[in-house]
Amino acid sequence: MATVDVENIRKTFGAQVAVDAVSFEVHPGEIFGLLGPNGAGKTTTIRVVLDIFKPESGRVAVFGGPLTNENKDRIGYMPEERGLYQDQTLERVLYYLAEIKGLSGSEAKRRTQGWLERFDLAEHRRKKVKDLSKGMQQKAQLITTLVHEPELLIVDEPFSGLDPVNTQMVKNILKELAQKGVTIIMCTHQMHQVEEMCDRILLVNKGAGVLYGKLADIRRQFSGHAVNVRTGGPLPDLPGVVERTAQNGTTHLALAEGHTPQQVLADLLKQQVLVEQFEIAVPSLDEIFIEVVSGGKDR
Amino acid sequence: MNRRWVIARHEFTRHVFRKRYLFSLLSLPLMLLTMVGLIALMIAIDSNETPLGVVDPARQLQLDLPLPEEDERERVDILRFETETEARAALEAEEIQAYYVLPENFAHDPAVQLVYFDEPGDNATRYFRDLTLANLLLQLPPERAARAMEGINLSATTPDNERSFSPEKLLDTVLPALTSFVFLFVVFSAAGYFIAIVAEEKENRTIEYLTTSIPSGVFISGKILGLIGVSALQIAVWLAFALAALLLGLPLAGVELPETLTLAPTTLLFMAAIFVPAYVMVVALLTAIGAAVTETSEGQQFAALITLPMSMSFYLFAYILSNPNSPLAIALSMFPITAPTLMPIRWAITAVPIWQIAATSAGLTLAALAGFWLAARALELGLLRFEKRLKLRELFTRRSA
Repeated sequence: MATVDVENIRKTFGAQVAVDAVSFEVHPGEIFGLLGPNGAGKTTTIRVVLDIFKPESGRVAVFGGPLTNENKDRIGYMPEERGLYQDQTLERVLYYLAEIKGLSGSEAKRRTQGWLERFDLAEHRRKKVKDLSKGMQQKAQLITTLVHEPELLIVDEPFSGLDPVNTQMVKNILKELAQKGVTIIMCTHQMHQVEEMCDRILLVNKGAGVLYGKLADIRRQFSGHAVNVRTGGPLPDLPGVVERTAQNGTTHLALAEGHTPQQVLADLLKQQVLVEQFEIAVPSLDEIFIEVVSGGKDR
Repeated sequence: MNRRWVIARHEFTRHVFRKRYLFSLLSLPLMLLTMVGLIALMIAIDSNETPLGVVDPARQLQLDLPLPEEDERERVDILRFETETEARAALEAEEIQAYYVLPENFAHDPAVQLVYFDEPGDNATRYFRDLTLANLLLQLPPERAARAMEGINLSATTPDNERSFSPEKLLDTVLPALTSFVFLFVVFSAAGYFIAIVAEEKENRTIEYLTTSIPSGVFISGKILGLIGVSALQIAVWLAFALAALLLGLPLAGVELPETLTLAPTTLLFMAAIFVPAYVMVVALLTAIGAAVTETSEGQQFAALITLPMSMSFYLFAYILSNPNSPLAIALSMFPITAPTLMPIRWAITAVPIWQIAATSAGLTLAALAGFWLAARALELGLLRFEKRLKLRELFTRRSA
């Protein structure tokens, strides 16, 4: 059973269509990337999933049915619009928000202390939130999202404001949780993070889902129009190559429409070129994102 | 712990331990303390312990006559002089602060002459007045003399026997009116908290986290409960200090309080019927404003829509006192916004019919329910509006997000 099952939802605000015909499923133990340019409808989609907004049409099932108040405790949500009580000490805010999530006072303290240690915030626990750095506040925000051990985690830009060390730590935590079976939906603009973390993605553009599926499959769909070649000697002119770019000792060959990588390899062998490396160039998610968003290409 | 109480506790402790709240909590007691202190100071300035003189060659006045305890507290020594010349010499020598000259037939014509350079102390003149009165009453039986010494003991009853007024029932008259003043103070000082009830969570961006964790109703009711606790503490402290100041200050100012003060259950019922729904109404309306606006400063401007008519009602105080049963007084004392201030004043000075109290209480309750409905609508519609406040029209016309 999918943890989250969204089917053909539509949400408008006045004349503006925020989300239209968006469908996706997220399964236990999966890290799912919800991507899209600013204003594409990602946050609206999440708010529909979390029952903040009611869709005009379509269906949303969380944990197998409509979202109930009891099931809200099974969700950890770090929204795009987030913050903490600035005038209070860090530990007081964290205890309070943990109790809001249904933990007893003692359990809230015990678990919060553990997360404070893990996020290197223990020594700052008596400081007022406003006196913490942006990165520290971001880590505190993550603690509020994780402290009640949710089964579904929805995190919007989880790495914003974090330095590389903390980014890696958060990545490790998310991967660890996914391995334990937690379902994770991650909204981000940082494509390299998605490439590293996500199993499947949904790319939303102008309120509609334009790319959906396994990351590897999507990249494969966009591959085949270029190859990367490294040879023992100079690379001769080859038919069907429209552009060649040197990249760290290899050459990136962009192919003409209808010309296949197999034909390029055959030509190289025919010309007895010593081929040290030959691979079909797979586009980065950044490139796919730009191509789809600016070109309006749907798959 | 129930999450509503988690929120209520957090809200309560968050405000109660703020310097701003503690300052506000202690401001009224400090003001009252200052007032009592000033009264005491004025009394001390007006007191003079120097002996008085009395020209009474015929020994008409018994100077060692014991007086009631409260009069004895103001005792000053009184020196008897045979002639006015001796008394004047003593006054010039500052041995006495003033002297009285008794007429020869004092018992039948008790008009005395007071001679002084500087006005004598209030305590001294009061003591001499009581002493002469006690002397004049010596011819009466002791119990009648004692009653006469007590002075006026007015007891009034309305024609329908519904209400009666007497010194023992002072609290029945004063407490509701006093509470209406405290109520207004509390509304003014707590308005900021209720206005900021959701605006703060919107400003600090915790609202989305909180409302996806718990139902909006639990969230808002927990916050309201916490803030009611904050205000209740304030009301209790202020009322206790106001009563203490009254009970301490009045005797200091020379107003005698009866030995036994009673408080009728009907007074408590009246206060509960008016102040409880009135408070809930104010809280709900302020909360609705707080939920509809995006910034606390903006909310404070809108709060004046409620606090201003309430405070304006005090300008009608004199009119209500002289015309407590006029159609305007009745209408304003029953109108929800002005009822909490004007109905207790009418209660203090006239016999308010039961139906008017019941109708006022019902009106306040309905207004409170309407306020809660508005607050819930405003919270629901304005939940994720961070930059644009809700329009009043939207509360009645827009469907949920």
